[in-house]
Amino acid sequence: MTASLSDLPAERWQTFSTLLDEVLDLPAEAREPWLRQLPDEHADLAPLLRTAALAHAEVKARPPADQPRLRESPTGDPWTFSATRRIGPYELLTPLGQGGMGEVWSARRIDGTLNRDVALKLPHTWLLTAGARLRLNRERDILAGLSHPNVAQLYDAGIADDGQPWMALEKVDGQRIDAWCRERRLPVAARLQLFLQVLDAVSAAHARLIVHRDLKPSNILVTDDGRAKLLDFGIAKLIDDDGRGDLTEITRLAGRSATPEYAAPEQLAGGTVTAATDVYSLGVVLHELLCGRRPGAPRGRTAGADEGERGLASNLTISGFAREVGEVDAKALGRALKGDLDAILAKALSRRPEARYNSVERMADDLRRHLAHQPIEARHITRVERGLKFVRRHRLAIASATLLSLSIAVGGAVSLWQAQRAKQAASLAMSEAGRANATRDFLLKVLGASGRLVASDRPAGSITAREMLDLIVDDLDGELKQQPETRLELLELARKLFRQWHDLPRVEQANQRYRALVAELHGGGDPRIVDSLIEQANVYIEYGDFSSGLPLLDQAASLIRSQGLTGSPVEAQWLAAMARHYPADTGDAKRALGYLQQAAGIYANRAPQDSSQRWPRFYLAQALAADGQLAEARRTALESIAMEQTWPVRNDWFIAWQTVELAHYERRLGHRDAARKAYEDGEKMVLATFGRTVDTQLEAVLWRATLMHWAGDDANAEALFAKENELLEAPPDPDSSNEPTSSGEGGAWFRLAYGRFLLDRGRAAAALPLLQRASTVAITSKPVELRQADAVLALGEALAALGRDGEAGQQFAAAHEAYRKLGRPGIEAALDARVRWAQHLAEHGDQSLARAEFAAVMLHADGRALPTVAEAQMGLAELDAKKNDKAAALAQAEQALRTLDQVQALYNPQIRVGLQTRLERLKATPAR
Amino acid sequence: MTGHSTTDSIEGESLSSLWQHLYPDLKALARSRLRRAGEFTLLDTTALVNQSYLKLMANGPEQLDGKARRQFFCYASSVMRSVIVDLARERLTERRGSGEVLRLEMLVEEPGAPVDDDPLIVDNALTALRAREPRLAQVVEMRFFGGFSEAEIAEALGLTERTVRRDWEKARTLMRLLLA
Repeated sequence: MTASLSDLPAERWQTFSTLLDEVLDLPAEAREPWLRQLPDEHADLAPLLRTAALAHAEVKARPPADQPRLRESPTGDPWTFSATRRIGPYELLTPLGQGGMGEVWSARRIDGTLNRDVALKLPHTWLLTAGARLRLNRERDILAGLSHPNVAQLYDAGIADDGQPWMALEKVDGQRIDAWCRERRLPVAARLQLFLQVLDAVSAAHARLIVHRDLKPSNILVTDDGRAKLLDFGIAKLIDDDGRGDLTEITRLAGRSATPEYAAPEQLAGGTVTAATDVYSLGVVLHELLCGRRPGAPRGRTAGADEGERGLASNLTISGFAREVGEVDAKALGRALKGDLDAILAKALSRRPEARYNSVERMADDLRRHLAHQPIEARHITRVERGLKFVRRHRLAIASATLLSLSIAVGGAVSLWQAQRAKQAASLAMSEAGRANATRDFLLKVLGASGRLVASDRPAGSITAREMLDLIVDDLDGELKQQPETRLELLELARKLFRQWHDLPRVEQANQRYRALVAELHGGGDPRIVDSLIEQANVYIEYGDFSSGLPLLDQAASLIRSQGLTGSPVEAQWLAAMARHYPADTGDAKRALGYLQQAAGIYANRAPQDSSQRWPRFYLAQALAADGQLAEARRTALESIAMEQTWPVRNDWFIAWQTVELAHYERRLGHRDAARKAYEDGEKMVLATFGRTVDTQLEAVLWRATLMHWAGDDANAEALFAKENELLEAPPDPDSSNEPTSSGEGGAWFRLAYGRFLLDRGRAAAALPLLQRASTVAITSKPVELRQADAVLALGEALAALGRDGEAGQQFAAAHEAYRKLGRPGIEAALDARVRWAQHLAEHGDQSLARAEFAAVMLHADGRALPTVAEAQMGLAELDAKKNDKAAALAQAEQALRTLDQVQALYNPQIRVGLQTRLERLKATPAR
Repeated sequence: MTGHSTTDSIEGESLSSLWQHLYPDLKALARSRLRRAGEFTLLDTTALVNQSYLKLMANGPEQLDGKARRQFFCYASSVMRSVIVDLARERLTERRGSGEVLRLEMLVEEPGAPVDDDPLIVDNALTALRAREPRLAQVVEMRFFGGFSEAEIAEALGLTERTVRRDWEKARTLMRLLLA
């Protein structure tokens, strides 16, 4: 009998499939009888058919997923480990779960000494520092000693030979405590009894100086027979490294960002974790068990804010809770909560650790006294203070409850007074100071994590500022709902930071939310909307989308006109964004140049110190270079760099990129040393600001190596190419993968350059795979037609060098065709492709067509002295020679070398060697 | 290279080169859509395929005839499949690589949502299915990855709509069992 469909032998499939069709055609009730009456030769298929029929019913019942969904949640993850794999003394059986920390598998000991299944926890190796590994063994012994009926026992822990840490825990079959209570609609007293089991367990652990640190409903399971079981006791400590800062940082930040709702304030603030920390978490869990939700708005996330309370206080009234929950007897719950439980929770949830129960046992005692209707400890201590606080916190709620009776006595005065107070409170929340505080807290939260935006030196494994920003922005609507102006400021900041981090989808999202909020608060004509529109259009461009931004810019243009912003820096930004839609290096440089010069004019006249001119000036230099005005481009770039240095908020990334661009201009001006230095400086700066394998860094390094090669220093060029290639191929370092990395485009350009270098060195076979890879990357910075043309051209050259002329010809034709379709035959890249195509025709195709193409190159070069023109002239010379016109051929060939003499830019000296050789060959041909 | 094909000879060699030409576009299109859509992404594959079809039409002087059009839709579905699967893998790698925060609730993750919309899982199952039931696999590829309606698939494969629906349900059943 076949157990699983995938094991069904191929020759049986057709039978199975036909029978399945038959059974599926039957009504549900007729299927089982039919299956029972299967003829003997098919009887072995019955179980599979039965399973299939059941699965089919489920499939039919559930709406199909028509569309693929890319998941962020861990549920879609394939497992890192697989069944039967051995880790330490265990063999994996089936996966149980996974999360950010790693995976949990059901496992069994290989040596068979213990015939029980365990939950084997397998944290990612990179979560552990060397120190943590050492401590794993020490802590294991302590935790293994914690044996309690309400604690899932840690049996053993260790590190496998391959470095994989593992922890074998008691396998618990149970349900989360909150779900367990909810599903059984457990009365308050029963909930408290269950919770007392939890307290017992925590108390026993505390007696052994083991703090849980991460108590929450998902760590507390209840088995079918009603026993509470705590998971992960001390695991947080086992994993994190208390001695040094690194991993404590993660846990601390994890506390803030992942499950901060249960963490005590001192835990969020990174303070000392004590038994009182667990008391607080237990308070939150109890609150949730009794009221159906956690206490109050999560004030805790704005650490450092005023001493606001996070207890049940910020909810309207306790009985309000009860009504809302509705899952238990609301009246009874309300009564219970208003009395003792209210006080017990308030004490457990005190912000200051010393104000909480000083042991879990005392909290348990109070709950037991409450169940026995005896006076509780919490009430004696906090009654007065709490009463005052309660009135203060719930002024409005109390007022509305008592308003009716009061207004009978005092008339309208009270309600007027109340309304005024309400208004004052509201305006306080909206005040400048309030916003400044909220923003400051936000910044502290974001920047406090890694100290600076660029975290190349951050400790291994710590959360990045960027990750934190993600988390916080996601939460903006929750935490700051009542402070729209603050949300606006934060969204603006997020826009800028995400943009700086090249996280384009996030920029887009933040912009859309920003515009919607501005329009809601200040109307649709607010100039800030223009800013955001322009920014988003720029983002599309950065993503290689040359059309989606234009409608946004149209919208921005009419706002600029209607709001009187003509001639302002806003308009200059708009002009720059327009220019970027007509990329100068592949299109009409004049058009972009026009926009950008106008923008530069606005800044010069109206806002010479405005730092927002940096990018328009950057593009201006690019457009000038594309237009052939290299000296002017160089001057503009140098000025921009100097200007940037003087601004108070210096953008180092800008300086880095502008320096690499400057290097291109120097190279094209023939300034060898200046170019080399600028590439070196630029690369260093990129490495310092954004790190390795960023497109711009790759661009700088490929040119450094290429310039070495051109200067004859092939050994060093080779070493540099090889080293960088290795880094490029290396699997991403988990510690730094949050830095912006190459879009793939930088890698393509790099491989192209490396491939060309290898070609020059006569190693076409080695070059081929590099060039093939380069040619499959979509180059998004160019319009669609050109995405791969340059790599395709180089690929053709590699194929030609390998004697695969037919395939080479196809590549040349493709590259030439791409540029031809662009309709800008005069740009240098187009001429490069065309001359190579013509050369191919001359050698393998139609001579007259080749002549025409060479001539076209000369025509479109329009008198410029380019290496490509020299190649075309040499091609024509050789065609002349084939027609036995040696005199014309020699004249033309010598002209080619003279053209080369006039080339200003640095170029590959092998071009000269090649042309020289071809000239000599022509000279040696006997005249007929 | 497009442009030198005529309607009656648009099959075979020239059609496949047309498609090759289209592949990077489709891929780029899918990518940019995806990037723009944010975290939880439902890929609007129908729109993508239609858009690329229109683009193809704009490049070529003539309409594709019926047969070539059908071939195109099958081809586009398989392109979309490879693009989507690549992207899903890439995402996975990105996520794997990123310094995730420490969470300790691994044992008790909420029971997983159905995963039959996960491209990587469907892709695996589809590969297993193709070896056994090529037509069902084609239907799944067109419907799930290509985003075509039952009517369109019926037309392209020369089946009735009812057959396509039955195939789709049977395919989902078998894929689920093949993965189990």
